[in-house]
Amino acid sequence: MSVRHLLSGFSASFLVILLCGLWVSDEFESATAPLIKVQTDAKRRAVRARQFEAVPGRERVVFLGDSRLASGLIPREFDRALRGRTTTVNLALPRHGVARFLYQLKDYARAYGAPDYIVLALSVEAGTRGERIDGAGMIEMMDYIIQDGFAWRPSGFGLRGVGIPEVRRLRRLRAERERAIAEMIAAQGVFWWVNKERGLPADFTAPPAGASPSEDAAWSAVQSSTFRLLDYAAAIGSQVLLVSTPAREGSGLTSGEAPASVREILQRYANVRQPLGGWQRPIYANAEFFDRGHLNERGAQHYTGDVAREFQTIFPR
Amino acid sequence: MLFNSLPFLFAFLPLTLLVYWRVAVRRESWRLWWLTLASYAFYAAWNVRFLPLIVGSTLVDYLVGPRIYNARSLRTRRAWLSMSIVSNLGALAVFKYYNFAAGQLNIAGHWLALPDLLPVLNVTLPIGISFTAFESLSYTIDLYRGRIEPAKRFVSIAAFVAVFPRMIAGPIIRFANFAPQLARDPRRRDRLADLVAGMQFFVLGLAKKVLIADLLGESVDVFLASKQYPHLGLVGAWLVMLGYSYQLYFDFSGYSDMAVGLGRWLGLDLPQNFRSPYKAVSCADFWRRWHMTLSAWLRDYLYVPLGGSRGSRLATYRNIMVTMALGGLWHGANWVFVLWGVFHGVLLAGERAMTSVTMSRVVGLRSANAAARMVTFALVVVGWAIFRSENVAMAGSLIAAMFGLGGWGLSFLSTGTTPFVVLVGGAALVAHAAPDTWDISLPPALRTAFALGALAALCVLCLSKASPFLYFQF
Repeated sequence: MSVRHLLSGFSASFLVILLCGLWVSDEFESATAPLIKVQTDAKRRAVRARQFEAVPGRERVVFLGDSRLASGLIPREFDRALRGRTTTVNLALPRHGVARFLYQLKDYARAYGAPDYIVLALSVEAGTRGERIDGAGMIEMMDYIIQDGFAWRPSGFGLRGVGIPEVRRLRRLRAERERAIAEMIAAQGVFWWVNKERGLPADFTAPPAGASPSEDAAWSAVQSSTFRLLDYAAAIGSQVLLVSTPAREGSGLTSGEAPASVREILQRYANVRQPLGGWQRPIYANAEFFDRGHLNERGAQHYTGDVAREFQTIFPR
Repeated sequence: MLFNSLPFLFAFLPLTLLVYWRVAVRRESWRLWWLTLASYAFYAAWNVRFLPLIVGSTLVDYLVGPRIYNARSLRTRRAWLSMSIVSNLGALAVFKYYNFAAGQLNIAGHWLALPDLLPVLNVTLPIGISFTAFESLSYTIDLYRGRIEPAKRFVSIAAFVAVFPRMIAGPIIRFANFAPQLARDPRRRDRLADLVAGMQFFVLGLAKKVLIADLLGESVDVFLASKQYPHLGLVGAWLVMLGYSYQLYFDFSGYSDMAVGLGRWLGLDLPQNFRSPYKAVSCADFWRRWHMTLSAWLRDYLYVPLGGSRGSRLATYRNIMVTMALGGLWHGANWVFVLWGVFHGVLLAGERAMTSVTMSRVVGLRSANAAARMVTFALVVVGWAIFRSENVAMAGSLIAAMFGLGGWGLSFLSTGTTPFVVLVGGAALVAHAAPDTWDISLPPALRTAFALGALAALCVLCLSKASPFLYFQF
């Protein structure tokens, strides 16, 4: 046995296992992609492939926003509330920011033509996220763990990713998830992306949080992306309704007047409107949320009805 | 740069070894300079601003060394030694302990309604400063004692102080043992044996770190988060602290193994730093097995000069307490480390004070050994609760929970902790039953290379993020 033989054996074994491991881990990573990613991918594919229902002769509406809007507005409920005047698609993407909204809108316009109306929720989080952000998600996740008690949260794929049968099982699971999510999106255009059965504990009290103080600071970071989106909307002739998503009662998330960012947008774009009630953030009951900021099915029906009424008032037929 | 990071594994290490064995090895001066420069690059990769610090302190010791050795009077010799001590401990005092001292003084001042007496500095702790300071001190103190001769060339002492495998977290080396190795041509060693041993130590160390310590650490950190630990009961507290005990052991011993492995690849023998410490049958035995090079340093340069066990029984206890308290403080500028040191000091003194009636007479030797191991390990785990705490209040809360004052806490087991419990069980099996890395001797065969290559690949696959070693902060 020589040094060269030993090194060759080590290197060969290392490379074979590394390559196999990379393949397995790649499969595993995609198989265990978070529901958010599966949903996001499904939604993007659905737009490009024109899978969403678009009834000819009706006014086309798209919803753009982040997870709060993705789980908060139900297209079919919206169309029903407007008595068949509209044909609506919810293009909001969880964990995505305003830069991504533009791509969503462009995809939609390419596939279906320019929408007549855009319902747009600009939140601080959505704005500051930009294209993608993972860090905020992790902090959120840790928060859930701390709130909900002990939870096992392994990371890294080494130990979990070993074993082809496991990968096959996960691959099947992913396919099932994708199918279920695609069906749900196709049927309702909305998906409740966190386990909706779990819900908040009965005695849950969130610490007071304030979005407003950081809102103006975030605005400078996303101003150009927002203007690009609204320039495009103006160029294709879409009317835009700016909405704010509901806050949970007791969360302290209320704001009586529009922040500087919204005032600037309204001043700059003639095609952008805000709800008649001004910028008063709607306050919904705890029972209408499944976590700190996302509506459950009941809350989504409530919010959809509210937005539809505002929409009908601002944009009468 | 971390040993468990991709830049180190796939860029720094191959390049260093390639140049070392292809070019530098031909001449001693080339070899030493290359080792020094590579080590400085390794150090600078962390924070280049601290490079002058390590070069400067090395230069002071290089210049002071011959003066200590050649001084004719004891007074002169002491004066030169003082300069080295001030240089090495001064840096440690400024970077590691100043803010702690200033903070304590200011708190005391506030009690007396005084304004801040000392400003708090915005300084970063240079990596490995505690280790390099002790190593440099051992050099000058050994010169003072006439046990070694001064380094003739700057590069000899620079390579000794900076050699990258042990720069950050030990093992703590001594010039007397290391200088002859640096002078020896590594080509005269058994290269095949060095290669296999290096692979064995490095890969097993990496596996300890990545496959055990990091996985345990993820859960332990969550359970010990500020909102979480006050809710731990008896079961939860013990499980979490067992998890931390194994995490710390596999993290630190993994690093030490990797350092030894890297040393063997460079033709250098680094000293053993761990010998299955959780198999210890007494606290004294534990300290002969845990961080062995630090224990030996404290013994030789602190405990023995204080008088060791040569004086009265009371003086011996005092020496033990002082040594352990300062040993605790060496780990960090926080009262919990002092408390941890004192805790172990009390245990060591208590063991000495025990009568000669041993358990073995009562329950037989084998049972006594098993019981002694269990008791020792349990006491060590209680000590780790102090060590891991961010403050004394947290230590109190954890220890209270470990003694059942927070209730049984059985609900811990029913809240999705099964994988953690399984992992703790697996780690326990390895720590208590498996042979130590130093007791394993893999043959220089192809099957060894295949097995270690596969294990190394698995570890690399798990490097989703390079997590720092726990002992880096010390």
